Amino acid sequence: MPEVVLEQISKTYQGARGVRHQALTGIDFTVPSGEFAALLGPSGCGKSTTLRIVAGLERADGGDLRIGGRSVTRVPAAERGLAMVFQNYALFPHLSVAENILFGLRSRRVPRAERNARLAEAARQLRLTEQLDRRPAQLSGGQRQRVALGRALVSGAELVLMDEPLSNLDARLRADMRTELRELQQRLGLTVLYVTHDQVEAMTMADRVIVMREGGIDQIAAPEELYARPASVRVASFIGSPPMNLLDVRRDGTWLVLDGAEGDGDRVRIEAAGLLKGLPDELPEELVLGVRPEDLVPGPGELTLPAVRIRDELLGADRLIAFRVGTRTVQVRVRADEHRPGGDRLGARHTACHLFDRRTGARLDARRLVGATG
Amino acid sequence: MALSPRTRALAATTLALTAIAGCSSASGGSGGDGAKDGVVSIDFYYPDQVGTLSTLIDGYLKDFAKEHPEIKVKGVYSGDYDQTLAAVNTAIDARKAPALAIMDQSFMHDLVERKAVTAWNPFLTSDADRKWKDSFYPQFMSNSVGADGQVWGIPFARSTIVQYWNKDYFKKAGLDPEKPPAGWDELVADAKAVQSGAGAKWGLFIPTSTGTAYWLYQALVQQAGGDGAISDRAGTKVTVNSEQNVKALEFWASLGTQKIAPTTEVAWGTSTDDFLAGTTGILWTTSGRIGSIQEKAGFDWGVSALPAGAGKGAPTGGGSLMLFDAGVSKKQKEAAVTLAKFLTTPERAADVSIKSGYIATSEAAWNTEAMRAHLAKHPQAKAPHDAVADAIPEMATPDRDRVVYQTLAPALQSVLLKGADPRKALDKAQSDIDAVLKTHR
Amino acid sequence: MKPRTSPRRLPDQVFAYALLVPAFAFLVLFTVKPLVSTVVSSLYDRRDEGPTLDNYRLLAEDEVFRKALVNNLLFSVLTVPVSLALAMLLAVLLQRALKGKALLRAGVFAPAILPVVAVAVIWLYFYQPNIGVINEVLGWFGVTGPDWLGDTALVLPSLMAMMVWKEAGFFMIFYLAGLQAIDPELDEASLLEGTGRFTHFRRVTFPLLMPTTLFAAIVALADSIKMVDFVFVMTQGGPDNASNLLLYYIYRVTFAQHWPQYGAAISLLVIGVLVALAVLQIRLLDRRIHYR
Repeated sequence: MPEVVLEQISKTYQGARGVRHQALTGIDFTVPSGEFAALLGPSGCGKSTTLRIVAGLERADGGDLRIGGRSVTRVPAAERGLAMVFQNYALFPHLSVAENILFGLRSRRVPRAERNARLAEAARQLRLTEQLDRRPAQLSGGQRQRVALGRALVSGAELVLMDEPLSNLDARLRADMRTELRELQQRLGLTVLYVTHDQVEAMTMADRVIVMREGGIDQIAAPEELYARPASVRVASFIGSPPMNLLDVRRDGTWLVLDGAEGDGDRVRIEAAGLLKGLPDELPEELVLGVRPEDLVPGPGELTLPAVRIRDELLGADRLIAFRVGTRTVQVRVRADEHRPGGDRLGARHTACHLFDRRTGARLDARRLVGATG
Repeated sequence: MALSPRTRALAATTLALTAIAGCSSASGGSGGDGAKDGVVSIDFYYPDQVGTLSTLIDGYLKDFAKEHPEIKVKGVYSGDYDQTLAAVNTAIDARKAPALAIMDQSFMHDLVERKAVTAWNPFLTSDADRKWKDSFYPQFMSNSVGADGQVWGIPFARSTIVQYWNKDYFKKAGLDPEKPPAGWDELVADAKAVQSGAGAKWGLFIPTSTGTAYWLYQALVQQAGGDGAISDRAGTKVTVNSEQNVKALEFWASLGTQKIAPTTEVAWGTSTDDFLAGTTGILWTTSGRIGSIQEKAGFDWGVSALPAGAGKGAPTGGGSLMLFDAGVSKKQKEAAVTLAKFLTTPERAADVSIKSGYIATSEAAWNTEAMRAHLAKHPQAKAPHDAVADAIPEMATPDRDRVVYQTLAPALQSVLLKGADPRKALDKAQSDIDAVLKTHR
Repeated sequence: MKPRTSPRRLPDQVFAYALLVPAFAFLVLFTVKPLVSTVVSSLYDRRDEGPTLDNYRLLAEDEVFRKALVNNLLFSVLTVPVSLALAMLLAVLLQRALKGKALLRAGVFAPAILPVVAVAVIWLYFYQPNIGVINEVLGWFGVTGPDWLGDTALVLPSLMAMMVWKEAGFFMIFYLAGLQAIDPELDEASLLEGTGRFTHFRRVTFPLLMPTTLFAAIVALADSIKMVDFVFVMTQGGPDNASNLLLYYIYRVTFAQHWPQYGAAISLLVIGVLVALAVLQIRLLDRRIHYR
């Protein structure tokens, strides 16, 4: 079974005028067989390079790559037993849909009868039976996308790599295709490594999200975990829309003091004995306090922030309310039909609060820091 | 005036177009009779086949301007003979012909037939004029005078075919280096001797290029006892398939079959380089190459008139001064005659000969101080003079390009390079040439 | 919206045509008018008497014309496909190698940049039987090289070889541009499917280059008929008319023989042949071409 394992994969590019540019620094991750893994990150983070190394389109400078237990670092792309769906679909414009789908099988000299059987099956699964004689230019974006998928499916490969396959589709179609892709993957039991910069795609489809940034990995986790327990300030700010509210605070005994406020008289102090309980004494002075917009409620809570309401934004079912806390603005998401609270405070439950070390950006976790208590 | 931007843009475009159209009619050379304030302006086209002539002529024109302030000459260097003909043709069509031009003498019939040139006779009325005309070698004049006695050209840059031989090879082969082959048998024997005895790759080069094959063929026909002129004086009767014609071509072809000469084209342009490089022991080519061989030969060499057989003599070649008619006034023609006389004085004829390799056009020129001094220094330069004594006219017909280059030359080449039957080839050429000339009688 | 009222404003239609007037004027002046006068001229005899079909009658029995026509057809039929094939091959092979290597690129592009006359002069010396580079090289291997331009059987093939050298370099540029337009993802997709380089070329690159090929083929065909400068420099059509080509013959007839009427008749025939060939080419190839 095609489990994919990357160990200490690194890559540097020779840039212009001999400047070397480190693209990947020691990438480690595993995609278990039959799992849908998403490589998520902003453009230039190295996610596409990682995918291309797995595909065999580029060669890593160091590290080991194993597919199905076999080291394939030196195996040509065509012999790695994988298929790939490209961002621009890589459809041959001069060939019909059928010829496009069968292109690889012809290259691999699969007998005609089997080719036709596989084509019919793929066309049925992807609802392309009517379009088999058309040229790519005569297809809609979604149909082209499905042809590209079809080409991957008929190859019989159980590992499919996808490089931002939905980025050329409009928003609605993208939502449909997300569902369709996920269904297909689960139905056929495919192992998928999926590159995207769109957190929604990663969160909705993937069993496991690998968050990348600047040639390294920030966090590997299931979507729920990623949302609930972001491992760093960066991941916290990247995942979720609108993003998590992050406030720079300084620890003062059992109080948290909001940084950036003018003058001691106006300084915002937050009572946080309950939140800090269980955290070790050697806790750093400078912290980042994070609360997601939907975890804040107007009025007092386990943790209470003094806040001034400044504006409202209706988002259909939800309402986004901006509050000023000290000199910072925080977003609060409530149901649209919830009555308008007029209060000057915001509350949150302790379990919904995230604390990060401001210097390293790492998450501070009572259980993890204390050790075996959890 | 309040015009919309569109209308203004259009107006500007229209103006621009009008200006372009205007250019074509406004431009032009010396129109009218070319006379202004008593100064006559004329155009003079001159080609340069050898590379040294144009500089010489530029100098003469400067001297002329000093001596004749009443005549303003615009000298136009016009490439080689073919390009000059094309340039003159274009000028004639535009009725802006040069008053005077140096033309390949063999174009004469075409030009006369098209009434492009003017005869010199009306301008040669005094005794002095006639004496000037008669001072040129009759061998050169024979190509310049029509059947009716009209003079169409004045010899200027003239040449003939001579024989160069490599004396070092002759010595090495045990031949007398001072004795060039004087007949066909000797020619073949000497050529074979330099190949076997001196290691020359080839014995004899007689160029077979399209542009000159007929010229060398003329000499061979003459030597075979035929009429080397090939064409009659009017140019409308041509004989290329007589017994002697066939014999001449058979002899020429035999050089290839005997491996004395290559059976591929002996290129006119590079044959001198081949002689200089020692590729061939003997070379037949124009007397105009004496200068460059003199300058570059790294071995002892000789030059002589061509060998004789039943007949003797080689055709002349080269350029003559011709007067043009289209758009040229009488005054301009008179000015052109004055310029022609200036350019052909014995001193200048000698100067042209010494500096370019062309043959001085009159006996008087050979007797100038400068020429005597030159001959004392370079005795070889006398060979062309001797060759002129027996020279025959160059083959000249109307529709020359078709007759000579398009019909006769390929016929010769088909025999020399592809082994066609000489008699058949010449018979075919004869009927083709007759067909062309029929329209010109 | 109500248009601005201006008494001098031209209607759009008139304005559009007015804008086309300069283009039309040039087309008429430099294409239509010469073509019409060529047709008219071809119907007159050498003394400008006519109209008559004498020129066309002569054409039927003119052996030199026939030879030039056969030579030119051979020249075109062989140089065009060979040049294009070589150009495509070079482009595909050099596509990657050429990136960032200015010197190599300059070397490869040289034949395309050089004027025909310069190429002719260079090759004239390559082909010299005794001092030429080619025979010099053959000499190292003990082979006595032939007289390339002096042999009636070799002169046309020799000129063809030179033409192929020049044209292949020129059309390679077109093919390099054509290759740039092909999405590199296609190459990668093909690679992942295990497609061999040749199969990929045959099934993907070659068909996708077809628009370039059609364009280049028409240009090459026109070149093979109109580029005759080298004949002037190298052979003057000889020996024995073995390298006479149509346009060179037209030049000789029109200028050297001062017979523009007959030249016009030959020109018209050549134009007819060219147009026919171009139409045939487009018809034949158009069906097999995928345009993006």
